[in-house]
Amino acid sequence: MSLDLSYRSEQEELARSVDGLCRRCGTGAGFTDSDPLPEQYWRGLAELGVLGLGTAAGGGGALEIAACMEQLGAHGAPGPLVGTFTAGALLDPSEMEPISGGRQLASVGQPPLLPWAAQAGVFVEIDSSEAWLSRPVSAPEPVDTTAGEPWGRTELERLRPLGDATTAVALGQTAAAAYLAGAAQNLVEIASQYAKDRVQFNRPIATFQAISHPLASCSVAVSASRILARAAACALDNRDPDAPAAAARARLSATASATAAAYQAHQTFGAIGFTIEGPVAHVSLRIRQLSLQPVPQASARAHVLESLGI
Amino acid sequence: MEFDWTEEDLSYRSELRDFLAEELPGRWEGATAVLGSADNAEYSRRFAGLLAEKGWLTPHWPTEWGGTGATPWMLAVLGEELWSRGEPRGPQYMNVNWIGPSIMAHGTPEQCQRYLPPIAAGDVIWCQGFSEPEAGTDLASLRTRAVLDGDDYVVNGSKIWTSYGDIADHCYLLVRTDAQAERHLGISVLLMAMDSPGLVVRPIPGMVGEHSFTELFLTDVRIPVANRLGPENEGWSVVREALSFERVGAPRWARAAHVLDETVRDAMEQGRSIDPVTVEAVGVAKTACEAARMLCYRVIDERARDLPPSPHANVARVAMVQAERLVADACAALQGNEIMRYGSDSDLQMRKSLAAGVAAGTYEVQLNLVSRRHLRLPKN
Ligand SMILES: Cc1cc2nc3c(=O)[nH]c(=O)nc-3n(C[C@H](O)[C@H](O)[C@H](O)COP(=O)(O)OP(=O)(O)OC[C@H]3O[C@@H](n4cnc5c(N)ncnc54)[C@H](O)[C@@H]3O)c2cc1C
Repeated sequence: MSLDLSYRSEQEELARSVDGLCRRCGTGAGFTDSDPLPEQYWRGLAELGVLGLGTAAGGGGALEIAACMEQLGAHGAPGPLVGTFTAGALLDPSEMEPISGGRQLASVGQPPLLPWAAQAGVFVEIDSSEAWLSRPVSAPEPVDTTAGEPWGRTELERLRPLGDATTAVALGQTAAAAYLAGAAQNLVEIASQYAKDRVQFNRPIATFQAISHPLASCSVAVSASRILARAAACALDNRDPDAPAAAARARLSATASATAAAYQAHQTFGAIGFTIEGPVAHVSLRIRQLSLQPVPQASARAHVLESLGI
Repeated sequence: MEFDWTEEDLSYRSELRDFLAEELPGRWEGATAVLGSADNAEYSRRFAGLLAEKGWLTPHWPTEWGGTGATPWMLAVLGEELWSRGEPRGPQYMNVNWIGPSIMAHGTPEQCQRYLPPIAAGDVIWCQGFSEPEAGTDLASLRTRAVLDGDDYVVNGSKIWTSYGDIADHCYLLVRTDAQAERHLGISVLLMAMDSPGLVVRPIPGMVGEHSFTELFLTDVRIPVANRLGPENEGWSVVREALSFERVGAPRWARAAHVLDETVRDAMEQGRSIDPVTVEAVGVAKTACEAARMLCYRVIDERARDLPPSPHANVARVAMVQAERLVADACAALQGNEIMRYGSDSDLQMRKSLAAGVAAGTYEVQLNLVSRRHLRLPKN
């Protein structure tokens, strides 16, 4: 057997460009701005070709998406990222072109509460197996969310069936898993660094095992999540029949490890972790938000059970 | 410990519920608004005033200070009913739970006369000036310095994470009065007016509600010696005692249990299908709330019987943090995307659950205390 889940050099290079873009566009600690989607950033992603990854026109596949999403997660970067990649696996090239170009946002989800609905130009209704190109029956009622994303509430009218959504959902799950794993990895890293720097009782708090052990255990969980996300991406790229289950496993693992990492980062940073401008708050809120969408945990579990014949 | 409420407790709870049903119809919108924000301050003053008129704000206080000499159980009932509805008293729960009692225990007759009646009337907001940038968990390393000059202390330094600092009238302030002494022995408590010249309050935007924190900068702030609570340099034991009141004084489990119940009810009403894993998460969270409730009751029982503070308070506090987190996770599983509506009960519960292990004594420190005092394990 061989197990090579490291990214190839092109993928790493793309991920580095994404990292650079996030550094340029985010404020010091990341995307803590009140602007839910800084234009320069979203346009930058389009120019790097990130928003078109996984489509025929854009090239690249699930592994490229995963590599970029790990970076985006590490920065707690905003935007309808999962929706964009999911849409890319469903829409026609002409429908996808303005989305990949960063000129239009895709809202992919289940009505009535829809991601980014307040700003979206394309709506895709999706459940765990089917999807439809849709349009809102009325202007979405704006809903501000936990992580400050402009969602909206509206019913959708289905315009055109987009067929079987299994692969698209699996791609979305994999993308979400990679983002969550990247976010969690970053939280564990910055919390570990902070624990070395922060002194209480005349010693770095990292010397208290009450701090170091939970961080170590988060780190173990996050390592597993990153590998599972890459494995799911490989399975998707190889059209492996196990891909949907692999994606579901990755998603479940990443949700659990990212939620745990967020709790632990908050513990480690103490009160600073709750400041809007601090390094933890915006990432931990985005982890919460992403861990619930677009397909709920329950259907991911169902996929895993199905793959076991249960 | 008897697991039963007296007739008196029961009728108090039912009267209180009737009152709250009228005063806070439906889901009090303040419950989801930001605890400690200026918006709530006005409301909480009015609300606390109403409670005071009914003799419910400080029922456990002695009659000479506006109480009715009620048992700590009555205070517990009050705390549960109010916390479950999002704590409409706002910051004034601290006055009633520990600031007032601490002044009663250590204050001069003049201090009691001056500070207690406004607390009992529900018309004053206090903040807690403990933490400093370098003194968080290690509170005894605090450096804000108070130097005697005639009848005043001249105070220099800074405080951080002061909740309600921007709306408070007074601050229960910890300062260092003897820089040479062993660190626990050089600390005093000063009762500072928040309009003191030389004090600058800066808000720190927080994720558990905008402007829920502030930073206090003190430059040559003069605080009369007459405002020192307790003997000079004995502030550490004064404050330790005060905080032992606080550990279970804020029944956060009650809020968590209420949010869980409401969220389950919502899901049922909307006919949402609930998968078995979520059902289990709800059950586990509910159990954790009940466990926290019982462990808090054990502490209240000790207090009702005038027993000294015990490690049971630390056990209860740990159980509350666990319950808050389990509820937040269960609500997320139950509600899916709907939890993410900013300001919804479950969104706020999620934010509070993140802070539960840090505010009012960190989870790790509570575990240290449980290990040492409850399990009698050696230190290091
Ligand atoms: C919502 C909120 C409201 C607050 N309101 C107020 C207020 O009104 N007034 C006020 O004075 N303060 C307030 N605080 C501050 C609070 O008291 C401090 O956050 C708390 O004391 C921890 O200090 P710190 O944040 O500096 O963390 P640190 O002390 O830096 O601790 C960081 C981490 O190290 C751990 N750690 C430290 N020492 C040990 C040890 N010996 N063993 C094991 N682990 C250890 C801690 O448990 C924590 O997990 C508030 C905080 C929050 C979150």
